[in-house]
Amino acid sequence: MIHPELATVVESRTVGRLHVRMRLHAPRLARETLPGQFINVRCGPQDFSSRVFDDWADFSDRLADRQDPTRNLLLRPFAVHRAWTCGPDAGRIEILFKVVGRGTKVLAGMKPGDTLELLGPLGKGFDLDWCAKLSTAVIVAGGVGVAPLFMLASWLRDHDVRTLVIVGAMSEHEVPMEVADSRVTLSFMATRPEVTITAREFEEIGCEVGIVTMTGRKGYLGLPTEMLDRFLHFTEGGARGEAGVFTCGPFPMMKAVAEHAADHDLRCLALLEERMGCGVGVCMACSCRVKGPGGTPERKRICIDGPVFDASEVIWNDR
Amino acid sequence: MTAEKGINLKVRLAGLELDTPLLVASGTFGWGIEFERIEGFASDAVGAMVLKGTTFDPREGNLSPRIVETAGGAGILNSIGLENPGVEVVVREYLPRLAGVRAKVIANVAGSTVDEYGKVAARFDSQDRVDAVEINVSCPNVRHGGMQFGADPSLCAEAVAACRNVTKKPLIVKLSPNVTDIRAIAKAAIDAGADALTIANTWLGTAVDVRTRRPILGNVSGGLSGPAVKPIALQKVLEVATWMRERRLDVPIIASGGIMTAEDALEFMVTGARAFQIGTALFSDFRAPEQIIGGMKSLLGELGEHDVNAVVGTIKLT
Repeated sequence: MIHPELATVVESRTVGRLHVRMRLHAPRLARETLPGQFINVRCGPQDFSSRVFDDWADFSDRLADRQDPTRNLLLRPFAVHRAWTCGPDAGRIEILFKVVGRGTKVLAGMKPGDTLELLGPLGKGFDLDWCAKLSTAVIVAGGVGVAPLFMLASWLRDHDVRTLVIVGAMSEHEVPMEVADSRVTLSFMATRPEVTITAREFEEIGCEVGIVTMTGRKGYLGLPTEMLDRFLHFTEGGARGEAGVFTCGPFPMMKAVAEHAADHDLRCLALLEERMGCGVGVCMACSCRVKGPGGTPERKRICIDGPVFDASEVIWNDR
Repeated sequence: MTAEKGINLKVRLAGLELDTPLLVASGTFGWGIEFERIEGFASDAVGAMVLKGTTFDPREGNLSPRIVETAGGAGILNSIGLENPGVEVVVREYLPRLAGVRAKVIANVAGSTVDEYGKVAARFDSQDRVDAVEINVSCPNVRHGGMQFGADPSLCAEAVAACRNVTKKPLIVKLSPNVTDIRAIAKAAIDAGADALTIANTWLGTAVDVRTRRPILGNVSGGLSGPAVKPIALQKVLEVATWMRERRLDVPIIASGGIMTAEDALEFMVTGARAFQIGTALFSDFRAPEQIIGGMKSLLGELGEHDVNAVVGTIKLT
């Protein structure tokens, strides 16, 4: 159930250019968040409301707190990148974000031991009943769009689904995860880069990883969709059972991924992003147009009807 | 809390008995059930909920982005554009879900034409679950209707009269602050049959991305709300309350504009508001209603008051 949770920052480190990975102790969210769901984060000093008061004697103190100028008014939505329910990180979640504005700037400045307030889990995640039936999954992430897809990859691997993860970025410095040089090359790629790079995090859970960069200095040169296309052509006709495509990233990339998936008659799930006001479905700020039953357009709220949508219902020419 | 047990927060508003003077503003509480999904949401702090603005036909609303926070977290600009599925869907699908809700339910009526205001109000009039009707003559985010009705006294009067003619339910008119003299519009609304006034809707504003040189909002302009507007909303309430006092008019004012704390709310009540709405505060914290009502009891206790109604209009101007 959607609930507030006071989390403690366990670790915060920068990865690549302007990306931050922040590990938080939030046991209930770690337990309850499903792949594709997100959380709202109060990017600023902890609000008074999260403390427990037995009386209202210090009312004026709390008043001052609420008008703290460093406080952001709106909570900011973040994908849950990882969640641990056992092992040394049990009870922790990790968010992965790019510093783009005031909220993320404040958040990036928080240190281990700091507390911050979360609200979640929010939204509907991926269709896991369908995911469980897959033999092969291709995950296509653009930049920080990889954030919500690790939990999915992890879930898929736990269910023995062969999973290829394609991450696209401008350069190797802008891959929002730790990357390492690698000797592994992907069998379905005709041309090989001089230096292949990989994200060990995905490899560790048994995914195949293809990192694509626009510079091509490291990683495969090109667009994520080019790699997706090669893979789909390569496997076509192969007895690999049902395959599915998952994507999150810049809208034009997701649109292209959806088209490629449709060309191969594969179902594609896209995780959409939008500026949000409330995150719980009341403000209509994140509303988008989708194809309803019979193809007639209808409006959905990304925060509660999504953020995961079937790519075939998204109206890709809307932006 | 024992000292505060004896404090009365019940208010009467244009024939409505509210458990608390706190209303949740139209457009910030969806269709009334969404917040129930949050563990710990204290619905008993809410005296009445105002539903999302409803038109006769469905409306798609504006292009995104539709929301942006302003400098220092002082406010938010929104340009939703009255997205709603139309009154028929609201009546058939959304109202029945509110059957068990203890708070009063106020429908919010919007339109592009006088005729549309009347048709929507008439549809709500036949609904038992609707306790009152708020007319939105102040939406800054739609091209036709909305604010233009709130900026012209005669148009405002026509829209209010169209609703008055079709409903006996309490009629609240939500005024726009984007006018030279809000008292002229208030007068028009009262003369046309308004039972109460909500003062006020959002202020027109915009924001520009200097890197792309484009407006941030898809609709170019939006409505500003939040702590940034509180002093100017309070000024509007002061103007209307003073004008009413001079004319011995007693039409309840529902304050709205940047209320984040109990003290903010009491400022408006002392100035003359009988009740108040919160909106932006809810986005910031779903516990706002509970905190404001709890804080209000405490603050009233501190002031030696046992009844919130006793502070209404007690501002000392001389």
